[in-house]
Amino acid sequence: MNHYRYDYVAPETLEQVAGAMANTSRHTIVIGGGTMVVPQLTFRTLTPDLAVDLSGVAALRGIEPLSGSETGSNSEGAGLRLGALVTYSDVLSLVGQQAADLDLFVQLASGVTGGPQIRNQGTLCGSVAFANPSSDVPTAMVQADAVIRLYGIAGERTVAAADFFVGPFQTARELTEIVRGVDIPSAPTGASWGYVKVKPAESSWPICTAAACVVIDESGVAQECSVTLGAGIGAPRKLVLSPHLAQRGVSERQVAQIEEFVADSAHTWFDDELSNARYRRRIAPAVMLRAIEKAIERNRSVVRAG
Amino acid sequence: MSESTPRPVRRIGGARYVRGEMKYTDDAVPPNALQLVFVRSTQAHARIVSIDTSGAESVPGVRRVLTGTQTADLIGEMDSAVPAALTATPRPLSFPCLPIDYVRYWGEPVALVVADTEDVARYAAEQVEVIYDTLTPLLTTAEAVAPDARVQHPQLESNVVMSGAVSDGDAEEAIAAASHVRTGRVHMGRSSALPLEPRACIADWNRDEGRLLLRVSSQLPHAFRADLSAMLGLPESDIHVLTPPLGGGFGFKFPGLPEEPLTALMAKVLRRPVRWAETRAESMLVGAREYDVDYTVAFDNNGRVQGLSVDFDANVGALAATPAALMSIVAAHAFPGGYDVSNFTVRWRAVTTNKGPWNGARGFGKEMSAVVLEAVMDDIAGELGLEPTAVRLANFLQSAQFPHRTPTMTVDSGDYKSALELVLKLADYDELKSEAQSQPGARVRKGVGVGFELTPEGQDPAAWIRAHETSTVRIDTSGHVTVLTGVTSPGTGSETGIAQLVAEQLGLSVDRIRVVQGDTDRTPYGSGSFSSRAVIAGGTAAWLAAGEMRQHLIGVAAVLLGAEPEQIVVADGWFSVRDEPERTVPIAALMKTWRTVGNALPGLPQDEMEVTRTYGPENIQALPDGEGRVQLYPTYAYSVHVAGVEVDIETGVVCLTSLAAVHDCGVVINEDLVTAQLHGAVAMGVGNALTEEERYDAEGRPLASSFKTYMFPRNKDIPRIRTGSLVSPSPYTILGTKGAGESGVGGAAAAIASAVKDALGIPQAPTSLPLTPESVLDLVDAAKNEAKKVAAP
Repeated sequence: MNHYRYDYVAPETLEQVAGAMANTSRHTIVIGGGTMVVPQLTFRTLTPDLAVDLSGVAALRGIEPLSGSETGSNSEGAGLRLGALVTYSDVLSLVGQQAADLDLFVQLASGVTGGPQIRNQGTLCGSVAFANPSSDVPTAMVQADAVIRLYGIAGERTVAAADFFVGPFQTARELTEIVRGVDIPSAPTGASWGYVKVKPAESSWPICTAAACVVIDESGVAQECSVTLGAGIGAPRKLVLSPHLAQRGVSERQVAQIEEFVADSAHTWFDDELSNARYRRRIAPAVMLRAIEKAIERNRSVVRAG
Repeated sequence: MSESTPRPVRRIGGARYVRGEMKYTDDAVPPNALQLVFVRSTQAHARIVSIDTSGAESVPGVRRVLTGTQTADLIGEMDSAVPAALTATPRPLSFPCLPIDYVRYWGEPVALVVADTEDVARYAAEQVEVIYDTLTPLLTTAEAVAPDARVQHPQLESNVVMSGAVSDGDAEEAIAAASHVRTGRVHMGRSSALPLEPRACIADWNRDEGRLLLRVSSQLPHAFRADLSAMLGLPESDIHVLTPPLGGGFGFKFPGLPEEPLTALMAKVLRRPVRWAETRAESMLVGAREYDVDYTVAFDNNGRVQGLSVDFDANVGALAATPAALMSIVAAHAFPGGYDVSNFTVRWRAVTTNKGPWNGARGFGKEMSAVVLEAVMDDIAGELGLEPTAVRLANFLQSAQFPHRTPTMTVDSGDYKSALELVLKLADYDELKSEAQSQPGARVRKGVGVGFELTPEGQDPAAWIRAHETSTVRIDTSGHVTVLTGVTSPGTGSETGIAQLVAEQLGLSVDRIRVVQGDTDRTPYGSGSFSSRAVIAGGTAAWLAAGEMRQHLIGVAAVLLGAEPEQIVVADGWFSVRDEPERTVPIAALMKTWRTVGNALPGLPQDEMEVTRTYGPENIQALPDGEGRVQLYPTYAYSVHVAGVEVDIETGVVCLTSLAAVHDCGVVINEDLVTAQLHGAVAMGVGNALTEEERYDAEGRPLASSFKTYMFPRNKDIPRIRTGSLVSPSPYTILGTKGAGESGVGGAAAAIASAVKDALGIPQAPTSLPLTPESVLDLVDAAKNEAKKVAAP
């Protein structure tokens, strides 16, 4: 008798996935890349009734261009659609091709420190679904205005990333749904991204993260500037800043906006085994500023050069 | 041994380790093995009100559930490896394998379950209901020594397990008379060795022989067998202990914790193989370091130390029978390191608390002494505005002073000045220094630090004291050699060094030598791996035995070749008459003839081709001399380190940008293996300095449970270590070897701490390790306050 026994299914179609997920009386988990849940199963800290393995669902693979009508959220219309099984390595393999819209995710994926095993195995959507406040992907999804596509027995629905992440390990996903994929809208011309994470050692989870975007028009005038804070707080939050940049980079007004944002009592800064709320709150402004600076730097080096 | 350094022989079995072919203890579980799982305390400090095992017992597949009360009838208590004289108790402290009515740390085993499968055992363990009456956990030494604190052990009168003082001259008078006096503090957080292979034990009852057989991941097979014999009431000869290759030891696998003896007990009771393997989270219950140190140093205008007074407490966690609490006295005995200090006092206490128990860890306390002494040197440099290296030079023992006697050490040999000069050159110290002084950016500050570490090595686990080891060299008819030795390799590769020594004596290639270790049935009695002494003691014993064997073989060759023994030369497995290469016999033919002809041929020696020798280094003295001095370690390796760092003053993150280390462990048998040990020690020092810590919450629950929450440095965290070495032979060992393997933990940690303070411009700030980003920001704030004070006179 195995008291940690669970059923395992590996469906091949989305309909089969939805069918497997439909029974809410069973504790069901979803295996995407498995980099989080498989170790938990091994350690028996996760003891489900059923594991649904997505790896055989061909419809969940691949990165495809979007048509404008599918996003609706961006003036340029187009963007990229990432299936649930897209790995960090898949994203990195696009460098030099469709990378412009994915540059934020390329920066993020190249900093994933679990080595090639994790980059080849771990999926972006798995990280979305897991919603670990310390992981890289949720912050970037919120910053990119990504749309999370959920799929269940009732069909598909979409949720904006900013609304999807509710708190640490908490999302808007229903138990009967999977994260089918994400749509990442195209950024406007002249957009560039910066991603920064702080951690004390390679083996640490990020303690504080920020993703930023600046849009600078052809005459060199900044049109948009925004930054999303993650890791320090339970769910990533985006701050839209006044676009005007100072000569040297971030303006005093923007610094003040960031400080005001960090001082906002609505944030729940969190303590965990790795760090404490006081520290996370203290370093957040610096991390956010650096993300913007990196985006500006990237704009000069990549966007202008390109 | 004139031509003996260094011989680049590749590690025996190295390829098998790299290919993952080594079979560690838990890689060979008998198919019919039962699985043992412990029910662990969910309180740090509590009375056990009741334990209900009925739920577990009713789970199908469960073979036995035992509580402390039941276990006490089946197995004796564990006796501490700490001598009774040190704890001032009539007999050594002893511990029941499972607690009867009182738990002392979160995760302490309170019951055990044996079942057909591990899953059944784990599930059943979850069904055991323990009701606790919670007591306030004593997590700090201050809490544990408070007058109303509950005393943690019935044989003790307080939670101060042991205490003492080491002193020379008159520190107080020197401090009172000196022109400069500074006080300082050092805190070393709780860290542990945590080998990648956790502990494991597979016990079986051999029905044919009526004996217990254990395969165990242990550093001390013979000592473990002796403990088991006493606890189980079996003659030692009825217990066979095998230690398969270890995936790391570092002191973490000394006996003295209850899991392995209880696994043996269950095999004896159930007459079935029983397997227990530690989980990673369980391994992180065990600690090895946590010190709070206050010091006062007096010095003259040249930075020469006039007097040093040190007080420290070691938080040794819950007591166990391991030798680990001895690390506190070893730390005290390692003062004043490699420095010439005539007046010093070190007062120390080992205090038991409700954190997890200690086992050993590389450095064995000496790393703490190094961190403190280097903080002292930086303090002096800061106060006088001197170059930190100049303060070290002003205080180093000079080569002409060796051997140098202190109350606890006879420091054997060395050239500290040359070692320092060499490491400064390797590190490009002047370049690092000028970079640090021209601080460019507002966000990142560069710093450079130096750390010296004297590392007494080669003590015996029986210490208090016996430093001998025995090796047998046996040659077979095919001309191959088997070495049986009582020392073991925890993964360090000592077998390769031992094989080299034997091969050289016998004129054979290393691949003809098989070294057998870690088998109480086959090897002589020995101390396993402990205190970096496998080659010093066991290797030298094998070398002596092989030397005697060589004379036997030459005697045979002389008869076979019709020559005088003095004419015989030995090389590459051939015994030849000098200058007459055609008169020669290979080792295999020689052995075959000797075995088949026996003494029918006139003049053939009678001896069996098997020699056993015992060897122990000199320079050990257990009993105090007329002046009360003792001498616990025979050899004194040392190392000196330089670290370069970049400190992000907005986030507190420390980036290690350069490391250099020069070490001297006397005559080296295998440079690659010794360098690998140095690199490992430096890596452990990096972890201690920056990230490794077993933290607890206010209730005494451990927060570290995986390598995501106990952070070892990874490859990218450690820059390439520029390494150099000197050779100062020990005058007290036959081969001139000293212990290798431990030096570097404290020196590297000290250099990094020094570099961080240098970067922030506060060389005299307290040292608190690990330097987490949070604590570095506190230092940044302190530096700002310091700057304000200077700005506003």
